[in-house]
Amino acid sequence: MLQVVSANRLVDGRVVYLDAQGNWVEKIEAAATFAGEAECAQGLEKARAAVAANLVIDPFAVAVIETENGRQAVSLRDAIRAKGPTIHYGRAARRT
Amino acid sequence: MYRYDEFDAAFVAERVAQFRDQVARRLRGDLTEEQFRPLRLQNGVYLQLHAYMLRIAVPYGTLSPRQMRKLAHIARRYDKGYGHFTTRQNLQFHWPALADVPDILNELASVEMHCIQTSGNNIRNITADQFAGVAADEIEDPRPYCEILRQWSSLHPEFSFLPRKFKIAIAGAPHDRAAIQTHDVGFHIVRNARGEVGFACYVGGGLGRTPFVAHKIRDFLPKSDLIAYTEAILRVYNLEGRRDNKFKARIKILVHEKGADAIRAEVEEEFARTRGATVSIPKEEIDRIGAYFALPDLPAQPARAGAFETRRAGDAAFARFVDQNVIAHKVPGYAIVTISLKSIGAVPGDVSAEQMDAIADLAETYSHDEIRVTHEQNLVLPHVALADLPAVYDRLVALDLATANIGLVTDIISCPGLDYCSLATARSIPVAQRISERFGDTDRAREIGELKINISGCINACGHHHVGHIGILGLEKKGVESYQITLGGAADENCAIGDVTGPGFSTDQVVDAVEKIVDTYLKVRTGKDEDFLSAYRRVGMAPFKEALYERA
Repeated sequence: MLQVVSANRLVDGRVVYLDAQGNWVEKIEAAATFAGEAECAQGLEKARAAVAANLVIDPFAVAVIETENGRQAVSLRDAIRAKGPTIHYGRAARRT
Repeated sequence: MYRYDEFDAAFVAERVAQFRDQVARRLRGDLTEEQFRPLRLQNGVYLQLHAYMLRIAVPYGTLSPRQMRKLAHIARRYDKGYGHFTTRQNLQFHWPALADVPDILNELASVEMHCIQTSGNNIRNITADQFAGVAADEIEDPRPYCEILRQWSSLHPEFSFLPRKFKIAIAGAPHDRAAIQTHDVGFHIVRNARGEVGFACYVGGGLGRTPFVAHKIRDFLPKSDLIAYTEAILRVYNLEGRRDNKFKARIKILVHEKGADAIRAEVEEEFARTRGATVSIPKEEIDRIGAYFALPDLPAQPARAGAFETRRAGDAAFARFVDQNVIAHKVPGYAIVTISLKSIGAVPGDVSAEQMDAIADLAETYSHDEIRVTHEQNLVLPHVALADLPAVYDRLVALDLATANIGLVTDIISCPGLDYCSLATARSIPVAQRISERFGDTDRAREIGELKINISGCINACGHHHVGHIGILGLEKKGVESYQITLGGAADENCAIGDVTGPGFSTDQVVDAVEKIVDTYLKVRTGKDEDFLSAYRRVGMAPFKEALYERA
């Protein structure tokens, strides 16, 4: 299954993805994709280097699928990580 | 309320400086994540799904307007303009940057607040009845004892590396509003046959994956022995609590495995050995701390206020608010107002920075500078003159904070769940919102009467689902959210763990399932006087099970 590599950014904890240039970006659509686990191992290797360089923490592989509506993480948990809470919060939740 | 002395201020300032240095070393790479994690956790910093989360202690749920305004300021400046009140009377920010946390802690210290021991395997924020000091049924205010235990337990060298976290709660009235029997240790203020006030002591309660109601191991503990006895319990736990398995490390497992009688004997033996030799709290110290919690100088008010009575007679919405959200203060002419953070369809416990500022203004103008946080995720104005109730209500209406639903089916406890939490297995907030919208602010909801629904998004049970009259536990089954329902739980002095109804429900089914349970209750109850819990205790699971799982 198609995979991308994700982590949280050390300085602010935000969800980030490894892109094809080796940068950590916030959009899952901009992430580099790996065809399977063996290919993804290379991405996770880069992620471990980024952990050692204190850029990110807790990297892991995220299974994704490409759909008509764009790239989506397969598990609900990863989808929520990618798109944010499924509820209105903060200013969006205010009704006054 | 309690004010920091020079020692407290220096203590918190030192801790902020220490953590600032630790964060800088982490960001420079001098500390690995593995080294840093326990340090950040001991300062309330978690990493969740989308960002770090900062948990701020609100000791025994008491806040001043100055502190509330500071929380509003932090929400605006460092977060996304809101905060979330939790089931342990704390406040969580869900989006702070690690790099900003030292500055946030510095801001908190300026209003005598901190995040020390809001996480980690230590003694956590000590919680209390939200109506402490004002409830008409109270024997004594529990907060001075919470404060004494807080001072004793903060960075306590012997108890900073316990097998697991340790939660203490104290209730001061016969009716337990602090859920003490769901805590590792609960103290219930009681009066003995000789008229002396002390504590009944409970140990080994807890929710999570293995829920237990606490056992009473002592009927009466003199006030002066509070620290010595707590120390004896913690010493037994610290030595014997399991460290080989995180899931079996809480004191409730030790109590369950050894039995309450054995634990009682060990605690009493340790207590007898150290009593007098260790800390005995002098009466002067109890009085000194107690003075911080004295009732404010409340000007005499008529027991009946004309403006209040007139408004109540002529305005049905106001009358409903008074009936549901207002209770008697121990001083005639005053009332305790609960502000619902559960307007219909809202996120339980969330409050915007603007609402925080406005609540601070209300507390300053109408509640003698005091605000309380409830473990049921609402706020309280504890000292409102009856004559001021119409003005307070009008302001709350304008802020969308006047929903008259305290204790009703829409006053739902909910953990953040999978929308935020890295431990969660399912979402809980959207379920709470849909139940709230299903029942709404309606005559039907009022007809149903008192009904507590508690929702957790995983077995760790931050949403206290085991002790909800209706409990909902979100799980993941084959990659899909599934909700298990329990009935008959209670968190008060008649504490009980709910019974599982049977197989779980999909996210599409769960609200209908709750409605079926409610409809069944309405059918079986003897009348409106028999609330949900009483009816369930009388008729048992059978009719509910039948309604839920009848073949289509």
